[in-house]
Amino acid sequence: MPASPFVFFDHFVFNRVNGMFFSLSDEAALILQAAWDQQSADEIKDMMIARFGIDRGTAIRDTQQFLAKLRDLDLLPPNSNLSS
Amino acid sequence: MKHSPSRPVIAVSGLHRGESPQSGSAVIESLRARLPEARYIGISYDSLETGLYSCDRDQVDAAYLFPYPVAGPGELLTRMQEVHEAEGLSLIIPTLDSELDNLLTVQSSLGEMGIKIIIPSRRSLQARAKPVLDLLGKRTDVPVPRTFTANDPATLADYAAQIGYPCYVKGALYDARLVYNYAQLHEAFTTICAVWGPPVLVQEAIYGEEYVVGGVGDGKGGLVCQCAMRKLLRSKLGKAYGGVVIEDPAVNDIALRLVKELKWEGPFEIELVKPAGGEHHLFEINPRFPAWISFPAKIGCNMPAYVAEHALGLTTATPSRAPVGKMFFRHSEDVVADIADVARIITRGETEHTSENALPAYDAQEQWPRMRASQ
Repeated sequence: MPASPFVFFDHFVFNRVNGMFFSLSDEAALILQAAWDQQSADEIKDMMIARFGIDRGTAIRDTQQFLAKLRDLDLLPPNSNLSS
Repeated sequence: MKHSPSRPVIAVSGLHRGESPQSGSAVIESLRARLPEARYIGISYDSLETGLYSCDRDQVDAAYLFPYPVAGPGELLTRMQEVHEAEGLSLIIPTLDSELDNLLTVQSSLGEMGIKIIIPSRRSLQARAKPVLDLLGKRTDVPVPRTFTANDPATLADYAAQIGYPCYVKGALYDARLVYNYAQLHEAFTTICAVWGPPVLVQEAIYGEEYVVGGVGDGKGGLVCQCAMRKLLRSKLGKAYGGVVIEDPAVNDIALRLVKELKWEGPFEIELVKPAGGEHHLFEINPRFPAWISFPAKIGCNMPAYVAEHALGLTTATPSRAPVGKMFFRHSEDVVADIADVARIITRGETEHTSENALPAYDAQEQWPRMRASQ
C-alpha cells in the first residue's frame, strides 16, 4: 500500500500529492487516517466505538457511509476494498 | 563598461507586475538574493512597466527601452550593442515569449560580444509551440486538449463547431479567451489577431484543477530542478495568484518526459489541467520562468540564481526541492514614482536608479504623517 498522501492538522487535512485540502470532523479524521494505516473496516468501527463512545449500530452505519463517501471522492488507498 | 568578474551585469526583460504579471522582476528579486553584488539591467519595451519604478528587492539598477520585437533582430542587435557599450553586459535572461525568435537569430552575435544568454534551442522552442503541442503530447503520451489553427474566423468557427462550445481562442504566443458562441469567437479572433497577428488557435476547454511546474532543463534531456504547484487563486486572465507546493509522482513524470523529449535547456513552465477522475492534460509549455518564480526562490529552490551562476561559470549547487505545503499568495502593492522618472525613460530611452531619484523608505514613512497633519 502506498504511503498516505495526507498531512493531518486539527480538523483539517492537506493532500500533499494533489494539493487539495479540506476541513473534517474528529470522526472523519479517525476514519481517513485509519484507512491509510491499513486498518480493516471492522477495526475502524471498533476504533469509533472506543474513541467516541457510540453504539455498534451507529458505528457501523456511520463508518460505512463515510467510507463510501471517501471512495466516491477517490480518497481511499488504491485497491482498497474498505467501502465495498 | 560597468561589469567586472566579481560584479556581473545581468539584463532581464519582462518587468511588468500588473494584472498579467511578467516574470522579470521576480527573476531579479531571486538573483539579487544570491548575487547582491551584480548589476541588474532592465530590458524594457514600455515606459509604464511597473518594475521600472520599484525600489524594492526587484528594482533595476538601470533600464533601457528597446524596440518592440516586431522591429526584428537587426533593431534588437543595434540596441543591444548600445546597451552593451554602456553597461558591459555579462548575461541576458529573457522572460517574454515574443523576444525569443529575435534573440535566437542574434545569439551568435551576442556571443561574439561576450554576452551569454539563457535561451532554449530553436528546435525545442518550436516543438512546444501551441499549434504543434498535440504532436508533442502524442510523442510523450501526455493528453493535450484538441487544438486547431486558422488564419480566418470562418475556418476557426468550423473547428470550434467540431470541438463544441465553450472553447478557448488563443494567440500563438499570448492571450487566451473562453468563448461560448460564434459572436464571441469572432470578437476574440479579431482582437487577438490585431494585437498578435495570425494564426489564431481554437482549443477544447478542459475543466479541472490546474497545476503548474516551473523548472530548469539541462539541454541534454535532464531535469535539473523543478517546483510543482496546484493553483489556488487565479486572476480573471487565469494567472496564478496563489498556489501550494505538491509532490505528485504523476506530475513529476510528465515534466520529466517532456523535458527529455524536448532536450529542453533553461527555464520553463508547464501548465496542466486535471479533470475530476481524469488524467492530467497538457495546456501549454512556456519557454521561460513563470511570474511566481520568486516564491520557490524564497524557500530554498532558487532556480534563477542557479541558471545565472551556471551560465556565468560561477560555483553553484543544484537548488533544493521546495517543501511540500509551502504556499504563495500574490499581494499587490502600490509603488511610488514621480513623473520625472517617466519623463526620463521616455525622453532618454534609459533610466538609472540612484540615491537622488529613489525614494528612501524613511522618506515615504515620514511623508504620510506630514500630509495628514497638513489636511
